[in-house]
Amino acid sequence: MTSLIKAPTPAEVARIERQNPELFRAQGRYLRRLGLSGLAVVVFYGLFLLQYGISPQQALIGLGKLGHYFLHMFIWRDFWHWPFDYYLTQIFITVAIVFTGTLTATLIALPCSFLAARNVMSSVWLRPIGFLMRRLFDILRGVDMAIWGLIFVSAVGLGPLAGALAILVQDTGLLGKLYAEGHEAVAKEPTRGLNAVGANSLQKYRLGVFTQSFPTFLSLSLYQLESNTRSAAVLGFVGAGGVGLIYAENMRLWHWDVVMFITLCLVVIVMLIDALSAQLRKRYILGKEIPDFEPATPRHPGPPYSASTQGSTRPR
Amino acid sequence: MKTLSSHPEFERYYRRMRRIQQRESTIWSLAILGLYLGSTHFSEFHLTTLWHALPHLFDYLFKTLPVLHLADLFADVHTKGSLAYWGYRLHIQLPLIWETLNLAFAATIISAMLAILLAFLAANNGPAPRPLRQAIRTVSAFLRTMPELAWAVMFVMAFGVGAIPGFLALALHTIGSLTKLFYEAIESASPRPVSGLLACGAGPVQAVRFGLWPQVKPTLLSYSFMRLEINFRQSTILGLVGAGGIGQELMTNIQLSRYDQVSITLILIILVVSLLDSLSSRIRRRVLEPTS
Repeated sequence: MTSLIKAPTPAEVARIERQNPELFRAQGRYLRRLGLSGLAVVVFYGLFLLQYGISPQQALIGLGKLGHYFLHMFIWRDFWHWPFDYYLTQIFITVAIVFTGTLTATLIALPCSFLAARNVMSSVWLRPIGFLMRRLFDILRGVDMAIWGLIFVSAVGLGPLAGALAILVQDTGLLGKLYAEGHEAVAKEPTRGLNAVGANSLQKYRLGVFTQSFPTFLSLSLYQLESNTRSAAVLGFVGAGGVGLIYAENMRLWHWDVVMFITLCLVVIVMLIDALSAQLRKRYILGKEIPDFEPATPRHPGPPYSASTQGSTRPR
Repeated sequence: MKTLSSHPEFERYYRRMRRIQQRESTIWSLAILGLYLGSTHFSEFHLTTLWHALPHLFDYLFKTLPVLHLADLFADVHTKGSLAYWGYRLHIQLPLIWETLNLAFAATIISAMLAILLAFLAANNGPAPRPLRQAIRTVSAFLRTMPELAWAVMFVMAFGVGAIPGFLALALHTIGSLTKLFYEAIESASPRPVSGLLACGAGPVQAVRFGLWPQVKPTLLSYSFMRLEINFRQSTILGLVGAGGIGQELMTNIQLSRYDQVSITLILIILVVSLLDSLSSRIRRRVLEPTS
């Protein structure tokens, strides 16, 4: 493709530089900053490798082993004799754990998030409750799911219940915080209007706040459902049920082909949940048009009674 | 309601719309309820089991509380009931926390840089040919779906116990998830600057550098900081399989029932997580809404 604009000659570039010294200096500053941060990154990695690094010999042996593992991932021996029903049951249990944990967390986090939102807990007496609630969410969310799994395994024993509780606890923290941020981001006018017509507090929060934050609520819950399906695999490693058990078993036995197979199965499952949540999102967050009211016999030229133009995505 | 009844036609319309909405919400609620009940059945999440399990849980949590006596709170290590007695393993735990933090930083920085490169190659409005885009998307889906603990086990088997396997596992997982977030951000960027640059005769690299990069840079940085938080949280579990960090210490404490040490390790982790959280949310806000 021939360009319409000719590239400037070196002399012209020099002239432009004389005319706009500020621009060129900014470019120089930018490059210098980029170089410095690059240097910092290199120094950081140097120190990191110096402290935690392994010998080149060990690295070479390790790379050889890794190549071996990857090779074995793609050679599926004895494929027709694998215990598929066992694998599928474990995958199914993982999905069940994720649904139970996430949906229960949604149920618990929703009321709690109102207790944490700054615009709901606005009076002097309620503010400490909001503060405590937010710190509680921080604690629940700060500990990883697998660690909660470990704790629950020692508290309630091995099995999927520990996994569901681990997801429940971590998601209550995460979703509660995110929902509360959703409640805080709503417009104030509907609440004020409801106040003016004499609504009580519960009605105000249900109709004035939650109506607006419902799309956020739904999209966060759906996203969390997806993301938990990915991360729930770690629960099995600590004995909290599900597909992680298969990973742990087969890695110890060097069955890398099974590991690959299970991962591919999980990719498919995640894609399915993705598609489902995309459907729900399209339906409830973008919303479906409600056809406007059109009188067949326009006898009253008064105010037009169109269906609520704002509330076409009204949640129920 | 007087206005409604005086417009029977509108009332009929309103009733019809209401009926449609109610029918749909009933269907969805029933579907979700059915799904929920089914999944609770298979995950053994019954109310009776919970009722029996809850006392154990509270017992456990109660046991992790340290024994502190107000009188000898600041006494030396050998006095039972002092803060120092509670933290007698701090000299082991603090370096491990530092190692965990280092792991998270190292994994995040390198994988953010690689993911930026891969994301521009995988984006539909990028310069790469179609087969390459598909290949990168598939590989990144694989990288992020394989659990990080599985990666960690694999690298521990290859390289031996230490921080390097953890770093590699975390980095691979992060490349997978960041690449997806990044190429979605790039695809939502406006195509106009790129076509303008191409019309002036810019090469594909220049078009990406000056057309796409300035648009997506804040989003990409913000995602990377978010990932740093997540990575720290995840690097706390790498130790479970011997891949470095505080996880090893935590697991030994839980398995050996050193209850007071479980609580102090958890408190350390939560402290660092919340510090990192507030720091990164502040940086993210500055990156997304430059005030200067």
